[in-house]
Amino acid sequence: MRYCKSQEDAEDVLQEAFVKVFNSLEKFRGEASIKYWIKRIVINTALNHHRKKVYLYPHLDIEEVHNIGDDDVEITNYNYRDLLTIIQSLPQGCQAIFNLYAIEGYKHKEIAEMLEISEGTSKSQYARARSLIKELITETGEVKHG
Amino acid sequence: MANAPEKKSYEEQWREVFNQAEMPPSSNVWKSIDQELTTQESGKYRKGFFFYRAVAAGLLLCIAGLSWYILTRPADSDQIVQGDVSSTEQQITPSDEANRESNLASSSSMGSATQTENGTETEYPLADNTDQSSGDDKTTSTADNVALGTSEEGNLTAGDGTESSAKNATQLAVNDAKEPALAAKTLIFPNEEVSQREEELLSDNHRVGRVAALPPDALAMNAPTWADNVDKLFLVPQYRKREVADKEKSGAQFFAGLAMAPSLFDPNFQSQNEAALASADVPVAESFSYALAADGVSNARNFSSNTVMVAEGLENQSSVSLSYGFDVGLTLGEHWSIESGLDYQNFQTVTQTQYSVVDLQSGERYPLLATNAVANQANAFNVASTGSNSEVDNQFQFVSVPLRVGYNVHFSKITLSVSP
Repeated sequence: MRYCKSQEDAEDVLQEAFVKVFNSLEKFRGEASIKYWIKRIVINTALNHHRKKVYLYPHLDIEEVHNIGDDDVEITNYNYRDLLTIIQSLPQGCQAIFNLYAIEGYKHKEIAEMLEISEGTSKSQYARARSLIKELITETGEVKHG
Repeated sequence: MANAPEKKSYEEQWREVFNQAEMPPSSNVWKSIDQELTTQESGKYRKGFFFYRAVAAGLLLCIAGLSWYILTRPADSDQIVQGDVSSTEQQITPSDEANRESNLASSSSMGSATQTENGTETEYPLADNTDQSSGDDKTTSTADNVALGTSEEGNLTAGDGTESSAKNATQLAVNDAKEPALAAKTLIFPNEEVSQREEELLSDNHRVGRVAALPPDALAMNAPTWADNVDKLFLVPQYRKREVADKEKSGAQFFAGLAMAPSLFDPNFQSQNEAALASADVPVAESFSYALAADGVSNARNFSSNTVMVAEGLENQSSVSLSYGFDVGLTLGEHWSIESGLDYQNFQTVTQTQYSVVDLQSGERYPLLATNAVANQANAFNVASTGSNSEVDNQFQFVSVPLRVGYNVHFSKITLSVSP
């Protein structure tokens, strides 16, 4: 859901990903846990799913996001559904990079390889995502606490 | 004073929020996944099926083409062709004296005859080119007979009321044989029943049987270019050169046929006997086992629970099976041939077993055979002795496109072919 804009979109990705999983079970060599393996397939499927539609990752100059401060709002007390709504409202490129870096824990270098973008673009998109999230939380100010 | 808890990083906060987040998809998703997987599976089988159908269709086309080629190929014969030929004499090409001087290697003028026909005096050249043949004595003899007006067959016939003309021409040839040659050129033209190929109309490739003449239309073929300069056209039965037939015989030849072969199929599914097992003393891993539990659950041997013992062998009775096929081939020289086609093999065995395997989920019980041991996930816990023999018929069906090299030994009327 975090990589998609809607429930239907997410279910499409899920279906596509699980078909890939079942078709690729023979290729699973057990080098990593199956949970991680499936998760990676689902993430890749989600990224490819959206990559087909539009150019998702426009380059943003790093200088443009330098001024984004670190004084992000505390989000630990927010309901994940509300935070999910905020993530889904991000532009597609920002959304994917934010998910990959902040929640999945990938490095910018790994993200750059996955998305075939430069590391700088990944960093700038992530900074932009943080900025947008901060704006969204501040503007609405009505995010319910979980 | 206790230290305040260290502030979590921005990313850690997000991970913490979503760590336990769950949003189950709708049930339709799993149905869709199941449907898509089923569709893909059936697509794989269809793809394979299409492949075999395409191969079969291609082979059928090849067979049809070969059959057509073989059926429509001109019949070769090394026999002397002596059919009844309607013969008519007709002047087909008016030519001037200059053209007449351009003599053909295969033709020469020996004389002419004069006959009053329909009130018109017509000059009939004589066929006397008997030495154009390959020098065969019989040819010469036949040609001589022609010159004497006494062909061996003696059944010179003619259609369209021209028989008399032809006879007259022959008779005149006899009469005038003693006279000096006149200007008219004579061509001994081969019979269309023998050959329609220009290369076979060469002067040294036919022998004169009878002299006759016919209109060009009756030949139903284009006269060879060298015939343009002749005055008279005579139809002569042609003897095909024996060498031609021999040459074709020794070349590559296609053949086709149906094949059916019995075979005794023994797949050797038997497992090791106990003695061999004792010496081997090696358990067979469950997932790769094609063997049986020795004594069922109760007497399972002391191997770990995830192994299955190899024990007494199955009694496997081979039975006669049949193979069918449609084969085509190409001879390569006198003995060798290369063959292909479409074969169908139906191998059968009858296997007896005293053990059964239970599907723990459905509760169904199957006779345990080596062939289904893995499919039924046979292990020490779901294999049991039935106490009596169960007999199971096994069928193994194959469709194959063989490629064989054969060595053929020819006897008088039988050809023995050996191919792997």
